[in-house]
Formats: sequence, structure tokens, C-alpha cells
Amino acid sequence: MSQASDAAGHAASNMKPVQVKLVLLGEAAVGKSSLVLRFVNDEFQENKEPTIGAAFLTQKCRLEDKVIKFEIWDTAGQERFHSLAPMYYRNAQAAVVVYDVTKASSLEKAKSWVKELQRQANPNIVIALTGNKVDLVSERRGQRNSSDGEGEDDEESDAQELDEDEEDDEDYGVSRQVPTEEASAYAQESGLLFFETSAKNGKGVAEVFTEIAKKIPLEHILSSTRGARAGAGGSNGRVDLQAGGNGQRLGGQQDKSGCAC
Amino acid sequence: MAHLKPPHNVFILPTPCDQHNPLFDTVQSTENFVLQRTKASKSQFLNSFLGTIQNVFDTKQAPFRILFRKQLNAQALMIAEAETQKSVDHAWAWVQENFVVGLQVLDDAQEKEEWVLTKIRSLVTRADKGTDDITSDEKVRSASRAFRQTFNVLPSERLVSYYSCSYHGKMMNQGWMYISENYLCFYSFMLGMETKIFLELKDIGDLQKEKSKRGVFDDAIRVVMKDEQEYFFSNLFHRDETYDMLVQLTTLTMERLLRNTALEHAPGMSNGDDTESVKDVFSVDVESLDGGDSPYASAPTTRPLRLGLEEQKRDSQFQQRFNLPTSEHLMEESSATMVQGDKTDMYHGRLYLSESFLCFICTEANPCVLALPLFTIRRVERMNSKSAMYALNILTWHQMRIVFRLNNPKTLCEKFCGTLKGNLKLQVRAMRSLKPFLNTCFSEALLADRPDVADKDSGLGWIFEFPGDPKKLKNKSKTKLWLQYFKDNGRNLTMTKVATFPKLIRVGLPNKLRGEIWEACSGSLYLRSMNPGEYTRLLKDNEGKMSLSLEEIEKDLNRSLPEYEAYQANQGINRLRNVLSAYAWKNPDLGYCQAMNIVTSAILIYQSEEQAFWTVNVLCDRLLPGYYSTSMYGALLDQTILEDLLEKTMPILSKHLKKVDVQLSVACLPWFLSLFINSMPLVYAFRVLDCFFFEGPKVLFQISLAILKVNGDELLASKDDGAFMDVLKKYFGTLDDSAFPNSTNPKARALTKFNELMLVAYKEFELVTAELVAELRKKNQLKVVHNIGSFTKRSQLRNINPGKFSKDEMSVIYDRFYSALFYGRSQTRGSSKQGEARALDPTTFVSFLGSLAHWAQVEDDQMENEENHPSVHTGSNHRRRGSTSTTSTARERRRVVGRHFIARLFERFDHDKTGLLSLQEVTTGLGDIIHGDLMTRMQLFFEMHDLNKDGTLSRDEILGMSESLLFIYRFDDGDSYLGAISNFIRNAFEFAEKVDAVKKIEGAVEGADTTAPATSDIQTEDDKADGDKDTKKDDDGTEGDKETAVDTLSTTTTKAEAPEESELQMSLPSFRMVILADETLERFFEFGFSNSFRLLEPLDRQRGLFAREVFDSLLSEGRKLAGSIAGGIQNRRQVTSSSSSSTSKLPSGASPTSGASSSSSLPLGSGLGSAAGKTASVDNSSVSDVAGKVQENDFEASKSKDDAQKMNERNTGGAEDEDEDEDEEDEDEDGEGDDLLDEVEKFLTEFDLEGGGKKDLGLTSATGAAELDSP
Repeated sequence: MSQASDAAGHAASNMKPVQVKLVLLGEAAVGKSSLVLRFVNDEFQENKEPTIGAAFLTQKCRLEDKVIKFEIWDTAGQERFHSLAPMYYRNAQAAVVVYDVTKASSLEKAKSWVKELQRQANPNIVIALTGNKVDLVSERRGQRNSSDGEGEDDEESDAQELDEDEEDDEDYGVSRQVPTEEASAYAQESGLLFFETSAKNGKGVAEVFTEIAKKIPLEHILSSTRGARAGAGGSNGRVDLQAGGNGQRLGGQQDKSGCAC
Repeated sequence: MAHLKPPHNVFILPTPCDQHNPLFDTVQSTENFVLQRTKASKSQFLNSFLGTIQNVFDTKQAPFRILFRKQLNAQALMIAEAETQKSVDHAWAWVQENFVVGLQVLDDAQEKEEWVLTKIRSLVTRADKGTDDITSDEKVRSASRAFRQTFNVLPSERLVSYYSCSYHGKMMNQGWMYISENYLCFYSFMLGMETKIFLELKDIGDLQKEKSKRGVFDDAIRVVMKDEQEYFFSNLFHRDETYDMLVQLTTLTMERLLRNTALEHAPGMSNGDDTESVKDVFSVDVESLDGGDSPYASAPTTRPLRLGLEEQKRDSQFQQRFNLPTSEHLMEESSATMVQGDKTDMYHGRLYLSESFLCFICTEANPCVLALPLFTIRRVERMNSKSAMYALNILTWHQMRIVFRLNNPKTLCEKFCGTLKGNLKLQVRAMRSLKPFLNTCFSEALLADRPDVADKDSGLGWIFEFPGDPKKLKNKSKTKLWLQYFKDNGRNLTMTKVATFPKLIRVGLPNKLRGEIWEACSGSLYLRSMNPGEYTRLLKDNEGKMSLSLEEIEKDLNRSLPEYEAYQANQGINRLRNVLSAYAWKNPDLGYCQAMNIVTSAILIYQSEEQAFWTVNVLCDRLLPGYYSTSMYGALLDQTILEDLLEKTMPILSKHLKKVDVQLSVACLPWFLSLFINSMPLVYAFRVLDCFFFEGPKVLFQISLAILKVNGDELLASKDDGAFMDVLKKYFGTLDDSAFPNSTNPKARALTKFNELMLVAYKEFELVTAELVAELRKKNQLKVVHNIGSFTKRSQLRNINPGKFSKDEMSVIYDRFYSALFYGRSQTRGSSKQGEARALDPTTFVSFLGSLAHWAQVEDDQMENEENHPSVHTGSNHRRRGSTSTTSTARERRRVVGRHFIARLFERFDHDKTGLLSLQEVTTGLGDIIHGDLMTRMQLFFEMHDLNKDGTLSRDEILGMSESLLFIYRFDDGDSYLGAISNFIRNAFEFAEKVDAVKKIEGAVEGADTTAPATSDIQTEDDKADGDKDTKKDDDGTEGDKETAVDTLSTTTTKAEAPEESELQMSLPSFRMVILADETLERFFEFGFSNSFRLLEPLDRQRGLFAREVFDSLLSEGRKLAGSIAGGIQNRRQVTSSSSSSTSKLPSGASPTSGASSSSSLPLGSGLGSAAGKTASVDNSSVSDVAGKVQENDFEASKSKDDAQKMNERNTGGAEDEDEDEDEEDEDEDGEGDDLLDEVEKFLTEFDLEGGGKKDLGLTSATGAAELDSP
């Protein structure tokens, strides 16, 4: 935690950061905590202790002229912790729903989380569906190509850039159970952002957060008083932050440039 | 001579009573028996006045009773009690039939009495197995009867207690509170005003002790339901007892509720395992209360539930106090003085004895607690003490001497010693396992001065080092202190906990002794010593099996204390896997919860696998109840309590947190769940664990509050949960730092922040005691459980496609669904298979439907059925047939029709054909009915009755349909539906397509026209015959006429087609046409049927009671009608016998379609026909539509029994199994038509007994029925 707050000091010395409450949801052991750890500390722990209840971390990001402070609630994944989740996702402006691309059942669980968020959570919540552990699947490139025809150009191009790091993969032979097209089609249909990531090698992790930041109506949050954090995001459309450019993207190795870690 | 079956629910265990009670009038009496009724039931005024008197002085009494006079003018015994005249008459008749002759034979009064009482007892215990009717306490027995009859609950419901009290509604009503397993009820009858309150325990949201309304006495309880409805009861003389009882019962109810609505069901159960390994928590408890294992035959009475509950409570307090296994029950208790060895210290306190423990606790300031397992005792001597006091000199296996002086009268002391002696004898076997057990205790190695011998079966710390620097932890000197303590006060199993014990604990335990002392403190030591081998057996028995929990465990194995070296190697991982899996197998309901891996991996550093396994058991079952369960209600409950305590102790911080909208549990829940292990540095977390195992969960509260207090200033400065979390996280990182770095005193400087924390925890939060925590848990548990319930409801409903149901309607469906499951489970008292917890089986579906639609309330009948099978030896007649009671045939009949209809509905709802209905299936099914239109509903009925699925309704299927309609209509006031249904039959037969040439049909129809008048004539004659018998009753003329009309119609149609020897086939379009032709039926399909499902307006329970009266009246009505029909049959048979040879071929020679696909309604019909003939107890609903059938069967009967049998066999071919039995039974009876008429006559006489006007009251006017209803 200390790193994040230290870093925030110089990066955003002249402006007030926009606080964004973000919650991570998904089945147990899909890599929620690892994803956060990669984003916040750019680290990966092979054996991360399961989250009990929820963990809380913060990270600041710069998007163009704004500084965003993500307050991340990383929740426990086991089914019986489900009843605690509302405590964490209430008032959240963003949610990352994570599944494991090597486990079909985890997408089902993700879908039920999405459903719950759409009904119970803040109505303007930005939800990102994220398939984690792509480093585990060897045939990923082939699958990716087959989905080229689909929309979501941004992610597509990002993904291809990231493909170049593929050599890092160690575990070949674990088969993918959730095809990219299937998940992305679902995401599109439900109005979600969609990503595939690897917390292990950092692929696609930072962009999950930057894309979310882009989609959140930041100005509305700014204009609302900071104490009352309810009901983020009005209906006054999206604030178009031109931050998504290539150079600005916060990748695993490039984080210093854009992200104040 | 017919033989009556004894009526149900009327006879009771013989209970002494006053024969000359001024409130009762003798109606009839014989030499040995008296039939009495209350004076109250006669006149309205007396009713109100005497009712009030009775109400104030006694629980509600039944208006009718039968007494047995032991000897003339001597004491009387009440043997039967009844709410209605009818049932008491039935009982009286049965008594006359079965006892009078027998009593004449016997001369000796003693013999007579014995014979009668034995018979009554056997009758009652057989019929009422497991109910309050055979409880040994007669007061409970009668109160329970009154309770069940007043509130119309199932006979299996057991009354726990009842108290005189007042209810404050609009005015104050003095009456009685009844508390049963599932309900809290109140009944009062004051000056004609009846007040009934019926509350389900599962819906109680809060219970509060209060002062009475005028604020003087502490004698009131406020009950708040989960829907915020409040009830206020006062004038409770035993208020606290009542309150405790309610708390205990609601706790049990909550546990069931949690299991019932859990999102996950038994995740730890093996995947492929269908065996019923999960026991209902509640059922186990209650059954064990009964003293269970003795079969009821040898012990005909059960103890009142209340005694059992009290005992259970006492035992659990005893177990808690000494950390004993739940297998221990308190057997003896005595005040005593303890002297340890040669020491001079004397402890005054109480000595307790259970099956395998001798426990002592000092009741004075000087703490001293001992729980001595009996198998560690070598010798017990009775000492000859000078002061004539009883003293026991006990020598343990290691020659430690303890003397107990019992301060009780001699006889009590002798009783105590006697029990002790007996228990010791039973422990001989366990003594043999003592030696191998001691080898696993490090304390023994230490005492034997072999401290470096590392047992291969010890904690991981022995191999991988213990966390922390042993020097800094002063490990050596601590070990020395403990060694001395063991020498003075005993070790492991025999250790006495005296004043120095807590001190030694609070400074932190030495590494190698830590595991063992945790065991000794938590009581897991006892479990391990008493269950040798269970751990290995669990693992072995379940080797290779998989479960959801095992998968979850596997995911987390690498993620448990990964920083500790052992968990980076297989050795640690394997141990962790073994312990977690073994627990999941032991407790599949809980299985595995994240956080258990963290706690267990920490424990395994100090304990062996087996030690850790038992410690986890104690942790999950006793120390942290409900923490790791599927709903985690325990953890949530304790969070609520923590918030409560924060508000009480630090109101400013509490207010601040509310203001900035920070939820405390966001930070604190993980502390509790993982016992600070992943919050604090390990060394300190273990120090907390030391205290926790000794002092219990209150330590967690104390430390949590201390953490908040110590960081109070910074927390007050934090504006959101992020900052809040940061403060705490930072604090945990500095526990090692000096608390007073700037102090000049080096001792103060040496104090770490952890020391400070513990100091604050114990000093400033001393008020948080175990008792307070227990009290707060009790107080808050209902709220928490209901919150979980509503969360589960929301999340389940989210995943249901509601169709066109509104949110509120879905909510009702959900509630009724789970209510049916809840009571269904308590009914069967059984274990359930995986998945069943969340789906309705056919039985629970019946009660579910009954809770939505009035017509579907068939539980009564169902019960009747279950009770039917123990055939009663009526002395002279043992034949099965003889025991079929007249009333039960009609009920059975209705039951069969109703259950078939509902069963077919069940099948229709059951889309995936699993034999279980999920909430979704039920929703969809109901939606189809309720939101369908006229057409779809007609189609639904058509398809439901098209049993062979050939797209057409055969003749039997049409009759089946009409029976179903009658079943659904049976509670309707008025009688227009009778006409409608007979119209339906007539029209259906008329418009149905015949299989054979169409030309013939026309002829047949014409034929029918011509034959109709002829049959009518015959009927009229029959009617006259009936009329002769029924002369006393004037009102039944219309009924009779109507019935006859229906009968005639059926006969007509039968006749019409008879010559053709063809089968009817009605297609869906013709069916629609027939329905639409009749206004009543059209209305039924248009909205009547769908409106019968009441989703938003609750079905009134009163209505249920009322309906019962209607039901009974209908029954008696039915008997009479059946009688007339039977009479008609007799006549008709004579008339038509000439043509019988040709007609009888009709059913057997029916067209191929009907033969092959014979419906279940055919055997039903024939069953009815014969039953009607035999016992004449069929009500009008079943008579009208099957009159044709009756005829047929009679024809067969007259022709040849063999033929009938053949035909029946063929017909039942396609029918369901359950019908077959019935059918066979009926076959026998078919041939005995002549006997039947005797019975009919008997019936009619019986009916006369009841007085003529009554039936109409029930059938047509609600007020009449209400009158009957009131006592």
C-alpha cells in the first residue's frame, strides 16, 4: 500500500485525484487478487493466499490531465462468501468480473455475477468481463485469429501487440475451455467491456483499468461531493478522455510512463 | 356384523379424571363407560360463560369425552376426547362394539380394567407413534390435543409447553400460550370472544423480554415477526423460562432454516454418493431427546418434549463449561470440596459426573477447573473421614491424588458414588487405549525428561522450525514453568486449571507445548483420546472419492501460509490436504470454507495431523459455530455483535463510522474468520490463538475492540473505507515496535505495541465476557438469519425466469416453496439426498400447492392414509377387510382422486423429469396455468386426463376428468357445480366420437332418448326406497333428487352406448365445445381455476378449520347419498339382471384402445363402485360421476366373480401400482354384494344418530359451520 500512496504524491501533486471504487468479482482461484497485485505492484505471486472477506488496495493512474485513484475491493471467490459481496459492490462505479479461460464453469459464475451487478448494484456501474490465465493456454494465438472478424477493434489490436510476449508461456498443454469469441459475444450482448489477461505475465492487465477509466463518467464523480459517494455516474453521457492512445496504455513494462506506481 | 375401525385422533392414553365434573353432562352411560359433553356446547349463553371459566382455569378442553369407570362409583379414566359429536359417536360405537361383550365375560374388576386399558393403550401407541399422544405426562397429552385441534396442525406436531398469559390486542385477552416444535400459538375464549394467534417460529424475527404494559412487573415478552408484526404477551408467571424456551426453539428452527435455504447443499458430500449420509441436525437432536433407541413397543410412552429440551439445554451448558464432547450428558451433580494431593488449598465448588468424566469447578473466587476423564482414574476410595462427611479419594494413573468431599445428604452421596462406580466399569476398555495416547503427548516426554525426542507424529514446527526467535520468545524458561505446573497440577488429560494457568497462557506458550495445551484448553484433547483411529478411518474410507469441497480444498492448498517453508513442500501440503479433507468428510454439510486452510495450516505447525483434525472440529463446531458454514451466519452474527459492542464502548467512533459510511465488517470480518492469522505477524497471531483456545471467542471481540481503540484517533480522521483500511493495515505492521519509544523507563520502552494491545484488550474490555457474547448471539441471531434468508431469496429469485409473475407474486411463490420444504423436512425427519433440499418431491409439492390453492389441501387425507396401515386387532375380527372404516373409505377415495390430479400436475410441471420440482419449474408450471387463457387451461386439463396420450379422451378418461373437477370443486359453497359436472358427463358422452361407424352413433343417441325415461322411472322407484329410509330427514330431498338426476344421466349414457360395444373418443375440439356449452364450466376454465391460486391474499387458516367442518358434513351427506345409491343398485340389479350377460361384456370387451391403455381412473371407478356398495360411505362428489361404473361392476359381480377378476386384472394393467392394491382389495368385495347392504343400513342408522339438520349447515351455510366449530 505504501508504494501507491508514495507514488501518488509526485504524480498528482497539482490536482485532486478522482476516486473510483472498483470491485473484483469472480469464482474462486480465477486470479482476482493476482490481477490486482499485477496492476498495483506489478508483481506476481505464484501462491497467493485466498482472499478472506475482501482485500483493499489502491492505485493511482493518470489519464491525460486527470488522476484517477482506484480503490480496489478484491473479494473472496468461494460461493459461501457470496452473501458478503453486496457489502463491497455497493456504491462501486466499476466492476471487474473475472473468469478463468481454462475453466468453463468460471464463465458461468461470471455471468451470474454480471446479472447480479446489473440488478443490484449502482445502475451506471461499468463492468469489465475479464478472462484471466491466458498464459496457460498454448493455442491461444490460433483462437485469437479466428475472432478477428469481430468488433471491439481496440482490444483486438491491443491483444495482438500483447501476443508478442507469448514466448513467456511455460505451461503448454492446458486447454482453453472458454473460446474468446464466446465470451466476447456475451460481453457485447450484455454491454460489458471485454478483455483477456494474464496476471502472470502482465498481458492486458493495465488496459482493463485504463479502459474502465475511460468509460467512467469521471466529471460526474468530480462534480458530486466527495463525501457522498453514492450514485456515481449520471446520465450526462461519457466523458471522452483521449487517453487510450498507444503510448498512454499502461502495460506491464511501461507502467512508469502512465501510471503512477 | 360389520366391524368399525376405531376413529383416529380420538382415543387417548387413559388419564384419571373427575367423572362428576360440573362442566360436563353425561349423555350416555353403560355399566363401564360414560359419554359426556360439556355443558357449554348446549346453549349459547352457557357456552360463552362456561367457556370463559374453562379458558381461565384450564387449557382448552374438547367438548366431548368418553370415560371408563374403573369400578362403579370409583375413579374414572378418560379414554377418548373429541371435538365433534360425530367423532365421539364413532368412538362410542367402537367402544360398545369392542368392549361390551368382552367385559361381560370377565368377572374380576381388576381384570376388566386391565383388559380395557391395555387395549386402549395399544390402540393409541400404535396409531400415534412419535406424537404427544403417547407422552408420559398426561397434562402435556391433553394440552397437546387441545392445541392441535384448536389450531388444526398435524398430529405429529409436538407441544413443548403451555403457559397461562394475556395477549394485548385491541383489548387484553387472558388465555393460554402454546409453544410447540414449530409454532407459537395463543388461544383465549372470553365471554364469547375467541382469540386465536398462530405464529410460525421460523418467521419470528426478534424476542424481547419486557415489562408489562403498565410497566410494573417483569412478566412480558414481545414477539416481533420478520414482517415487523408485533405481538405482546404479558402476565407470564414464568417469563424467563418461557423466553429461554422460545430462544432455544427458535435457535433450533433457525438451524433448520439455514440448512433449508442454503445456497449450497452439503458441498462436502461425495459426488457419486447417493447414500443418505447427511442427517438433519434437528431430527438428530429431537430423536435423541426421546431416549431414542428403545422401540416404542417396549416403551409405549415418550417423554414430554419439554423435559427433553430442558435436559438438552442443561447438557449443552455442562459441555460448554468443561469443553466436553457432545456425547457427554450430565448424570450426577453435588456440591463438593476439592483438595489436591498433599496441598493445603481447598476449593469449594460443584462436582459433576457424566458418562466418562468427573468434573469439578470452583464456585468461589479462587479459580479451579478440572475435567477428569474416568479412564485416567486408577483407584477410587471412600475415605473414612472424621466429620461423617462423604469423601472420595481419587488416584490418577500417574499417582496424583485428588480428594473430593461431598457436601450432600448421605443418600444423595451414595447415589452419586453408585453412578460413578457404574460409569467407571464401562470405562475399563477405554483405559487400555490410554497408554498409546499418552505417547502422543509432548508433556509426557517432557516429564520423562526426553524433551528432545521428536515424535514423528508431531507438528511441522519440529521439522521446519517454529516461527519467531525462540530466544526472544523466552521459550526455555516458559517450558520450565510449564513443567513445574504439570508436576503440581497434572498434565494433559488430568490437568487442573488453577489460578496460574491463565497467566502462563497469556505470556505465550512455548513452541513444543503449544499444540498440546491448545488441545487441553479447547477440549479437542478429549475428542482425540475418546475417538482413537477415527481420523485415519475417515481418510481411508473416503479414499479416491471426490466432492465439491475437495476440489475447493485442492485450489487452496498452495495458497495457505505460503511463506512458511513446510507449505512449499509436499510434506506440509499433504498434511493440510489430509486434515481439511477429513473434516469435509466428517461434516459434509459444512465441507470446506476458505479461511479454514489458513487456520489449519497455522495449527499444523504445532500439532500433528490428528491433533489438528480434532482441533478443527472443536473450532468449527463449538468455538466458531456457523463461521464456516455455507451461509457463514456465525461470522455475520459476530460482526453484528461487534458493531453492537463498538456502539456501547466507543460511541464516538461508532457514530463516525456511520457518518462516513464505513462498514466495520469490511475490516473486521477477515480477523474473525482467520483468527488474525493473515492480519498480524504470525508470532503475534499465535499469541492471540493461545488466549482464544483458552478463553473462547470473547477474546476475538476484546482484541478487535482494542485494535479499534488503540487506533481510535487515526480512525476518526479517516473519511472513507479506504483510509480506514490503511490505518489498520499499517498498525498490524508495527506490532513489533515499542509502544512507548520515548519513555525514559527502559521497561516501558521494552513493551511492544502488541503488549499494549493485549493489555487494552483485557483491561478495558473486561466487560466483554463469554456470557455477554452468548447473550448477544442469542439476541441477534434471528435477525441475521432472516437477513441471510432474504439475501438468499433475492439472489435465487434473480436467477428465476418469473414469466408474467410480478415481483410480489414471485416472492410469495418462493416463500411457499421453501415453507413446504421446511415443514416437509421436519415431517419426514429424515436425511436428504443431495439436491433435494432445494426441490419439491411429490409429497412436499402437495403441501406447497395446498398453501396456494384451497382445493389442493389434502394433507388430512394423506395423514389418514399414513395412519391407516397399522391394522388394529379388534378382538374378534382380524381380517384386513374388517378394519376398513367407513369414513376412511370416502376419504381414501377423495384422497386418491386428489392425489392423482396433483400427481399429474406434478408430472406436467416436472420438465426435466427428475422427479423433483425446482423453483423454476414450479414457477413456469404455475405461470402456464395462471397466465394462460381459457383455451390453454382447457388444453391443460385435456392433456392431464388423456392418460394414454392418444389425443383423445376415452370414456374412463372423461370420468376421470369429472372426478377431478369434483375434487377441485369440493369446498365450493352451493351446488351449481354438481349440475355442471353432470352436464359435462352427459354432453361429453353425447358429443364424443364413437370408434365404430358414425351412423350407429346417431342411432344410439336416439336410443338414449328413448331409454332415458325408462331408467328415470326405475330411479324414481329407487328414490322412494331411499326415501323410506331417510324419512327423518326432510332437507335432503333436493340433494337426493339432484343426485338421482346425475345418476340417471349417467345411466342413460351408459345405456345409450351399451349396445354398441364401442369406446368413446373425445377430441380436444369436442372437449372445448362441451366445456363452452356450460356456463359454470366455462367460468371455471376462464378464471375460476386460475383464481383458485391465491398468491397475494393469504389463505386463511380459519378457513381451513371451517373447511374441515364442511368436509365432515359433506362426508355425512355423502354417506346418506351413497346409501341411497346402494339401495338403488340393489333395485336396479334386479331390474336389469336379465340383460346383464350382454352388458357385462362392455368393460372387458371394450375397444382395443381402451383395453390396452386403461386409465387409472377405471380401477378407481370400480373401486369406488364396490366401495360404495360395501360401505356406502362415498360422498356425493364421487357418486354422481361413476354411477355408471357402479352398475357395471354390479353386473359383473352378479355374473361371476372370476370374470370380474379377469377384467380387473386386465384393466389395471396400465394403471399405477398404488391402485393395484386397492383394486385387489376391491375384487374380493365385489363378490359380496349381499353383505354390503347390511353395512349400508348400518350406516344409515349411524347417520341418524347425528341428528338430521346438521349436514345442511355445513354444506351450505358458513355460519352454521362456524357454530359447529366453536366449542
